[in-house]
Amino acid sequence: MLLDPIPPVRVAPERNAVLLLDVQRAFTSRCHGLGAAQQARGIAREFDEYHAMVDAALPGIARLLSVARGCGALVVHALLARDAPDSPLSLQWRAAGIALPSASALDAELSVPPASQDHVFARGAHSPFSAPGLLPLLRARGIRRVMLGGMMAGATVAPAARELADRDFAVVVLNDATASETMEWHATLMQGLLGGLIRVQSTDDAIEMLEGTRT
Amino acid sequence: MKVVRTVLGDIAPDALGITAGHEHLWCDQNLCRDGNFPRRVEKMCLRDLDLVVAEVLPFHAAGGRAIIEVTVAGWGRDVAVLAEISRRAGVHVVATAGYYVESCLPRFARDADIGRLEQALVDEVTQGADGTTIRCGLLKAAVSRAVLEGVEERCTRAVARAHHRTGAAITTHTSASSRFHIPGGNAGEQFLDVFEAERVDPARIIIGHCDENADIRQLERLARRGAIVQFDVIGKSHWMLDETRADLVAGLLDRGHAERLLLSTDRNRVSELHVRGGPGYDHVLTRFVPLLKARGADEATLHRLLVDNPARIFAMPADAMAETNA
Repeated sequence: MLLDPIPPVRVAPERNAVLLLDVQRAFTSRCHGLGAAQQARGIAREFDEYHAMVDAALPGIARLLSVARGCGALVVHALLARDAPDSPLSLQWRAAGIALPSASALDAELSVPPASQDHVFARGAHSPFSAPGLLPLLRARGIRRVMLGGMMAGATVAPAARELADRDFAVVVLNDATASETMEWHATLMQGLLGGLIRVQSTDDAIEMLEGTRT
Repeated sequence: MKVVRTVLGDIAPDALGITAGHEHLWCDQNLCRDGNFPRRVEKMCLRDLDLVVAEVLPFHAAGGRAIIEVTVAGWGRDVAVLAEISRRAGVHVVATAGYYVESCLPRFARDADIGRLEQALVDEVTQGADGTTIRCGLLKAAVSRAVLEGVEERCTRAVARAHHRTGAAITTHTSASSRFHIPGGNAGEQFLDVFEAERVDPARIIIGHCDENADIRQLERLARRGAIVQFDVIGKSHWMLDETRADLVAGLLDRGHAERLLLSTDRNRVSELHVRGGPGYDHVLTRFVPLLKARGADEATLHRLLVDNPARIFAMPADAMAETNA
């Protein structure tokens, strides 16, 4: 062997956060929110690949959350709500014609079971930072790296990755914990995010990073 | 007596046969008055007579017998070329008089009043177009913004008034880059508001491009107002999957709107033709009809969509015509 293998570097879980955007019924169910709106328009079939990606993502997200909670990583859910107290619904969401839940009923809205130590933010715009409590929480906990997943990869996850990087966080976009309108577009989107502080990896990669078996 | 006015002369409506309601055979957006139009997509351009004839032959082989050619003055319409294509490919071709989006209007049209705009259309339907005696058999109006306004509204009113003088049906370009800013996905209802104000029977109005950004609730509203709902970008999967289009057509059939539907593909670039691996003019007949059959459309329904509806919609009164084609 010419070179010694690079030893695995255990990440410090307490400096890592798992941030999930819109992993909620309005964007994971064919019968609520986005799915219901597409059905009403008669174009639900256009979202077949999106929902296939959603269905594939949810079990991996649940496994990641279990590992993250077990090793002390921060878990944050940022959900869209029509009446978030500190984050009014944006004009483009009001015009979108998609039924969003009330901020008072978010526990029932989550598509993966929440745990008591998880943080849940309601917001009314695409940006996760439109929930004013998110950035102070990440700073207060000394978070260095954010593992990012969520629905509507193009509209929400990709811009959130840029925003996190602009705030000096290392970002790991979980390419199989997100969903786009088509698989082809998803691949293009993920490839376009790579670079700078942003990496694109799988949920299994993230789990191994938290467990200390992957750099 | 009613006829369909083709570039080779008037024919009986029942001689039209299977018809594509919205196509281009000869066009060139490089000729648009605004040289930068369109800004973000490849210009529509078909300027190869031999190629177009070769591409129409598979449409004919699949049973197609008539093509409604919707290029208008301002971006390369040439009715003499259309007549040549018709002769060589063995299909009926109907040419169109009208006004496309503002960026492609003929030079005179931008500042002309409605009366002058109207008379130019009447002349093309009753006397001849492009310096020939070959007459148009359809009228067209278009919108390029989210709101029908300004010169595009004047042109639309001129189309309505030319319709009253000629009896020719009206087709519409309802979308362009503003389609995602318009409630329902296209400007069909705005067109109907203007045309109804001009006392045009909605049954004579084709709302085009209904399958780019569709909402079946809006399509049903158009049909209930009596207009013709045209799915005319079939095969263009960057807008919508054909499977979704078939779902929408089936939904409208289930709601009793079979008499209000037309089908077509809006071919307008070489990249969309077989020669470049594209779906070609025969796509509806070879690829889309099977999707409709799989959703329960029987032969009688398909005949209505492809033959009966075009024969009724594109028919116009023979006695409105001043001359016959040379």
